[in-house]
Amino acid sequence: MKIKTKPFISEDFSQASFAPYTRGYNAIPKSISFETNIDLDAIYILRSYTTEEIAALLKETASINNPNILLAVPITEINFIAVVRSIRTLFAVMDAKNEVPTKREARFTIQLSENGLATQEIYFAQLAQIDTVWCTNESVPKLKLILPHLPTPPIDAFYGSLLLTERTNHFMKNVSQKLFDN
Amino acid sequence: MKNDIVQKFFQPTPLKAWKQKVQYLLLGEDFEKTLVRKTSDQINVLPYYYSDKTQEKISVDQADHTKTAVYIDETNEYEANKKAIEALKLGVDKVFFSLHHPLVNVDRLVENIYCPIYLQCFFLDVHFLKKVELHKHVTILIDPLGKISRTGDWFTNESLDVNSAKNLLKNKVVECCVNLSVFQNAGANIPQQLAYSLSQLAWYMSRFPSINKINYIVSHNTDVLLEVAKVKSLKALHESFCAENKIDIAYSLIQQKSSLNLRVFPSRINLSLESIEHLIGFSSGVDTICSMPNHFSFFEEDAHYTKQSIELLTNTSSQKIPSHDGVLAVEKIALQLSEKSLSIFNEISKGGGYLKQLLKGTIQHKIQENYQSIAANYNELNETEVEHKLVKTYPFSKFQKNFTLVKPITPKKQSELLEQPIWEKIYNSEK
Repeated sequence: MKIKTKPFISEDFSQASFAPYTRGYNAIPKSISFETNIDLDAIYILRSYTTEEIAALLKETASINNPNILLAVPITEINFIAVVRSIRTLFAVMDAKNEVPTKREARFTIQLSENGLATQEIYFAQLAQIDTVWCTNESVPKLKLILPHLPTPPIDAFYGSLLLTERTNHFMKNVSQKLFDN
Repeated sequence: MKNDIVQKFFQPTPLKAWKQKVQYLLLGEDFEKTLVRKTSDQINVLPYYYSDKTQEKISVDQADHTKTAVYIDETNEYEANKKAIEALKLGVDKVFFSLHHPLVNVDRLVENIYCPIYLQCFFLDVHFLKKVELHKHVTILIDPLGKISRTGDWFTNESLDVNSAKNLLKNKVVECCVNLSVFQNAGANIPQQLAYSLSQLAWYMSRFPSINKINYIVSHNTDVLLEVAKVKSLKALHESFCAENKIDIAYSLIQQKSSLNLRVFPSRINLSLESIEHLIGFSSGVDTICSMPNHFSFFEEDAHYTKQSIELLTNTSSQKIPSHDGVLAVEKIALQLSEKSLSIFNEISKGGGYLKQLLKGTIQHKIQENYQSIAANYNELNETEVEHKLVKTYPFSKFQKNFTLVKPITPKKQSELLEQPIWEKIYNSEK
């Protein structure tokens, strides 16, 4: 008996061998950390998935060495992974374009929602290699109990999904137009 | 070109360059030991999945839309009906009743329920059909092989059970089940779950040649990528098996809560773990996801979990959970799982098929071996989480003397070796 297969086709830029670590990901998968104190004055906030807001965030952080970005957006959807992927890549593009000698590194934070879906949000945070989960002191022990049940996924783990490719291409094209077309 | 900007500023970096960078970052640590995750499912999860031109993916049909269902194991028809109606008000799409005897008053059970209803029957009774005939939205699910696997005995005996099932399956409202959940709950790894299910399909196909639909009952661990790959692999194995044998058997995947993942100390994380299982169901495209059964809350203060489980399920259903279809890591793992399952399936076929291997005890032994390795490696117990609470249900499998035809495949918990002695210490001292 033979398993039915078909060729794997992806039009993603990863297909052209732009490895994740050249696009702002860690070279090796890292686990997320929980933080209870976040200095809101020292963090840049993304509040929606509009290309205008993403472009504004990138412009605002252009001269910051290693900016902290809080993603105050819905987490359990494809846009979340696609936007983090696009921001990381555009960061690297901006550095290459501006010939920045040392690569800047953005740190991403999410805040868990209180609708009972926090565990699912942690999984999406892992998929997008988010650095920090902002939570309350009371929730840390429970989250630490849950984390061993969610093994750290591979880097850029959603690569290959046609849905992700389509959304990444959408953000890359529209945000870079707003950033570079003047 | 869509990514002109990327092409302009990045040099392609081959896999070799990534590996060199990783070796540098590991400061002499071993790559395999540090970064490759070895699972009890005989799959090594890599830190990075890289595609090449020869990459193939499994080709399967996807469910159009995953539906939600309430799982009700209440014995009283009035109470069961009331619970179903309450769950429908919370937004579930279907109702799933587990029935343990044919004397149930079906009219009362399904009164005022107009959505699709499944009756998972733990009995075979041709006369029971008459009670259901008038209710066109009701489907009866039967599983004679599941019965002997779970309990160690046939309903009556092999020949009578086959005859009863054959007669029942002549009616369109009756469908057959293959229950992977029995294997998963007992601690079988994924290739075993898939291979044993495929062997059951082969047995059903040989006994009931006119069978036209199979309902696979699945349950999951919390390793998302592996479990999504399992679903993909199950679909592929079913479709390939049917293509190979030139038959057309439709299939549907019904997801039920795993008991293997349940924790007793602390039980408060069980809903969080269940929400990962829901995520797996929506991401992998199963057809129906059931809520947590009532008997999975062990303490009086956890009784509200059943309702919360339904709310969690409908809440997840309203999110935009993306399908994992095409994700390279899932595609590669699904192919590996399919190959490993096929190899076990071929061994079982050479050994005379599922039933023969079950009667010999080989399948039970293999599952037990895998369970022992899972349980031995499970070390997540925080002593501060152990507290005395009012007990609702005994959480572990009760030891029974083995007077059955074969050794049954009983559900377990991965935390059992740690938690059961503590439970006995706390609650037996009260007796």
